[in-house]
Amino acid sequence: MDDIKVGLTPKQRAGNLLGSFGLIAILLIIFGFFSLLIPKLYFTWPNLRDMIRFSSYVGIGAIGMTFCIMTGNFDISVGSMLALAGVLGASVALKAGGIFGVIITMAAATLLGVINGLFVTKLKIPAFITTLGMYFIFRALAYIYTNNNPQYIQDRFWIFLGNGSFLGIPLPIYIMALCYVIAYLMLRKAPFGRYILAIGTNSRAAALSGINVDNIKILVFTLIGVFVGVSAVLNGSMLGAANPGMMGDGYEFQVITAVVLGGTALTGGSGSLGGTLIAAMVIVFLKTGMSNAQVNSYWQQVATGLVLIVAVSLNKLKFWLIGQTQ
Amino acid sequence: MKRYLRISVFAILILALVVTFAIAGCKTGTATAKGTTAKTMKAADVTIGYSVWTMEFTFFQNLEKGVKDACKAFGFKYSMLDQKSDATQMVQDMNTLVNQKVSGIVSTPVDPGAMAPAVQKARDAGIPVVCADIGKSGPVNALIISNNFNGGQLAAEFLAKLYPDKSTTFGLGNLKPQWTYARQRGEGFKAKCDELGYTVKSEIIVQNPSAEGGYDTMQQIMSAASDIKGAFFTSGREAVGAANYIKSQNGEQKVVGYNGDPEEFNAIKDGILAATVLQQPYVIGYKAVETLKEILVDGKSYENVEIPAEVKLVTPENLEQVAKEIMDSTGNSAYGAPATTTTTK
Amino acid sequence: MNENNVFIELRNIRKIFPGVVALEDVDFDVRYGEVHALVGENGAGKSTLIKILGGAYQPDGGEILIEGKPVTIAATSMAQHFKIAVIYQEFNLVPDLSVAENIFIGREPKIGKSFINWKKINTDAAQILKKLDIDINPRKFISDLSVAEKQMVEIAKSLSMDARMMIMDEPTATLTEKEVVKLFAIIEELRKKGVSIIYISHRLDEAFKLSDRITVLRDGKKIETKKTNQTSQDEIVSLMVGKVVKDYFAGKKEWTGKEEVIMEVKNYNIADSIYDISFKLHKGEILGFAGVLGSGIHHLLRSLYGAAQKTSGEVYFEGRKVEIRKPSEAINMGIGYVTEDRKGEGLLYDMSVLQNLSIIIIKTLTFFKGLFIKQKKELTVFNSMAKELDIKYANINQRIIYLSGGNQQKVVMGRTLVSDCKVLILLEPTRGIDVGAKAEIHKIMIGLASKGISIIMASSELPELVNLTDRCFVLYKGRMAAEFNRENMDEEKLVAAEIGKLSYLK
Repeated sequence: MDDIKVGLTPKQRAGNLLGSFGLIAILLIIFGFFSLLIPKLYFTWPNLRDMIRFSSYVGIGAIGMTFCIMTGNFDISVGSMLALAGVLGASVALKAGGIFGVIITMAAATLLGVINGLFVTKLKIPAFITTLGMYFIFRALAYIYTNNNPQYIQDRFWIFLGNGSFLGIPLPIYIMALCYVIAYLMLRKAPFGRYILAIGTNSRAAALSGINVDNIKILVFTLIGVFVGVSAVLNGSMLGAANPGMMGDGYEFQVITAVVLGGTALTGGSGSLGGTLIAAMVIVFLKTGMSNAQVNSYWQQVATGLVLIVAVSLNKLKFWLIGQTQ
Repeated sequence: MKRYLRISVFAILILALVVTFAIAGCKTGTATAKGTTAKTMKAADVTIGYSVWTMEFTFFQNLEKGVKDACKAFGFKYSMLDQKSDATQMVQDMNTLVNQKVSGIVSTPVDPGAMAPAVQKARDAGIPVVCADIGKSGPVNALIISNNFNGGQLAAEFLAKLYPDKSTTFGLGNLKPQWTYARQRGEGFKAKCDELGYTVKSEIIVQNPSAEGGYDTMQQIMSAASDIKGAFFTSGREAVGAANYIKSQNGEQKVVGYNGDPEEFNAIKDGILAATVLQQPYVIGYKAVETLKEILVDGKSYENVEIPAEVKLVTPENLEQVAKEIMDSTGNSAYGAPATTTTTK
Repeated sequence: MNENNVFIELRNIRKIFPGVVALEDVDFDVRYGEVHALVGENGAGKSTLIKILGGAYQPDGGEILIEGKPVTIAATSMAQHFKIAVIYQEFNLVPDLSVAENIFIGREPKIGKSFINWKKINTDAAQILKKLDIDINPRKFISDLSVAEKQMVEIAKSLSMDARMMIMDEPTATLTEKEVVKLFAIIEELRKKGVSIIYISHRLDEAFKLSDRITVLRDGKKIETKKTNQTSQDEIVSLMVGKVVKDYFAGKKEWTGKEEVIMEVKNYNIADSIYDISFKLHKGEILGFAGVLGSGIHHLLRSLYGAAQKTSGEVYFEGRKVEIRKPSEAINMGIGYVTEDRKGEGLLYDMSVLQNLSIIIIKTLTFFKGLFIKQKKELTVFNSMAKELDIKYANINQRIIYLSGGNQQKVVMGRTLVSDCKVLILLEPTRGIDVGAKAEIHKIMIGLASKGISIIMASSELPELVNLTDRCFVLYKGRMAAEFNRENMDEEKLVAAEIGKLSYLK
């Protein structure tokens, strides 16, 4: 009577396998390739360690963006948000010490996220337009606040956060791991994650299920702020300065690239934090490998573009194999 | 189920890598320590790593050519990384060079304020760091930068020669004060004018750094002091914009620029711009490697030293000769036009 | 029948959807310059038939002849080629273009190869509009037009393509009476020009006023084609309803409603759709709502769930006056809602069967103050509901879209039921699912009512209402048109009341 599909065909199994391991395979291929090509420069612990350390810059910021894109929204203000929060925190750190600087950076970024969320939900301005506006406004405020002077970060505690190590592993790696564990629990073990998926897949059905769609959206934009705040703290620490013009320049683009490369659908509804994390690493592993191999920077961009397209094609192939019809 | 499988596979891979390196790490660690204790090195063992702001602009291409040629001349190995105008990439590149265990680092930093922790790391690893142009922060050994003060003086001397009458007045178009090194150009200009007995009657900051901004600023200078006979602009495109304003008013005033951009070369050729002070990126790059050679091979000690690189006055008289010199050393045309835009690899 | 008179003829047309036979051996023809009305209840197969004629669907059997020659209408563009135009209720007009541009879209008169001849396009459009005696400025933008005007433009567009046949799907559903008069005049005009028209409407009086012949469809079969002047509205109504297969239901259900009132609605109004509705809902009662398109039932029930806003009126729930502003308030009170638009606002396609079922109550299945989901508890809840509703699935992580329509519907109903609701609002609970699953859903509903859950059910399937509901309200144009109880309810009366013609059945 009711025809239900029981079990999976071999093709569907292959598709699921591809979805699960495709990106990891790309990462391993890149790592293996450069390790064989330039073993002395690439296949070393310090290099691997620093590649993962630098993955945290895009990796942490991309957590909030993954949530956001899963709900079918965008935030392109993250780079400017990073700069504004960074210069605010750095200026406070100069007067009140690094701990306060870090707290202010986090608080400022969170607040900016809340503002984005309120604009999108309460004023019903599409996220793309709101955050495009904020992209200019946050950056301009950073210039105005600092009078276009870089804010130097010399506080030892703050500098330690981005540059220190524990048991031979840099602190940013621990912090990134912690962020991902928390985000994973939120997405997979908490009702919040279900709500994000529901809104992304069918926001009208979500609303009829009693989900307060606006509140969840505000929370998502707030979380972007929180994670961008963490990223701003680490970035400021690694740079030793917060420059209103330089900090976070192009960040939004890198972050969205990582999320898309990680397999999150731009239309919302599905996505993977693990994918985002691996994608952030793929980008850094590839760039470092090519730089070390003295590849001309234009060719580097070509290669990055190709990897993005290959990864997304793998995703398409996965859906084709699984036989997604909707 | 599948998710856990995926996570665990990935975790095991990472763990395996970490363990491998942790074991291997002991060896590499000691090796680094040995390397740094050596006082001097043989030229053949030296590798210079260069981190460039971007390879998109001729200026930096010429700088890179200087670094590369110097390495070749001294018999050093050479490796270059491109920051692509990204401060985070700049720090990352510095780390990469440290991990590559280069002997010395030359950096042309996109954000000189944001390099202190990275420079500290390099120095901790026993690697000397020399900045080529732009600026510095952190414990760098040396900064090679155009002699900006002298450049301003050259401009003043040039205008003084044109107008021997000491009652002649001049204008000055400055860049925003946070550009510390550009400010020195204006200061050199004013100091020389003072010394020679001339007056700088109007001094205005270019608010919008572009040719249009220079045009507007010249207009403001002229309305503040219409009797000036010449003006010095502390940057290139702005000076060309200013000279174009004078041309549009059929004025007699002479404008002198600073930089040696292709726009300026063309403007001098067309008789719009009177002269410019040429920065020599090739020389800066060459000098940076020279400095590292002195540290690494000759055992000299530099800490936070600023080394000026000479600048050159370009006038209609020596225009062609200077352009030829640039072409010979860098392979790039001073006029920009059919210049090679890709890297000079 | 004179063969030469026939523009298009359908022979033995069959269309089968998974689990449903939508059209079964339907013969149908339209003559030149004829207005042929097509009537039938919802789900009778009218829209399938016009979609076949419009090239949107391909028949699974039978043949189509145009002017005696067999043809295949493989795509909507081919319908255009055969000069067949379908005017759907949702118009095919570009809102940001002018009337003239829309009329000539894709066929704009050009100067040279690339420039639109604006003068010509506007004069040509004006000419066509004038021919139909339509007073619309061709330079106006579509977005500035009223619904009726858009319809006129749609007709003008079809005419400019030299359409030989126009299919109008419920053209008067959203028009005012004045506009209807205007439309009828235009149809008359078209008929004189020899254009054939298939006219689909729930409003029988319109069909009688306009048509030359009337064809009645029921359950995918053609029942009869009658000459309009040789039949009566009463006869058509009885043909539409037919002999109901009563034993399709497991016997008429027992009266389950108790005296206790759980919910009361007083003087309820919603802008432009509901006028002064009042009713009481008893505990354990199944209350039906019937009405055709434009009756406002949808708005009313959505609003009772907090998913749409009322303009005035009061709602009492368990004796207390309540304000329901959003679905979460309704859910907390114990009101559940199952949409009729399962695809558009029911299913969470990208999510699993389990996640779809638990989405409403997930926040209660948590520990640490709502922080983490109790996954074992979630599974227990799922298993017991899946058993209760007999949901068939491969595994709990299977995406919901891979389930059959009936099982999808059970999950969407189960989603509401697990929240322990006292009142369940069901819209078209058996739409788009096959007969077996329908019976199951009905059984579930009766089971719920006997447990004391009150059900408000809106359906366009009259047998369902007659056999399941304790009482049934019929809404016509947003007003209460009739109220039936189990003793005096039958399909004929419901149909008549739905189309505002209760007086025919005296």
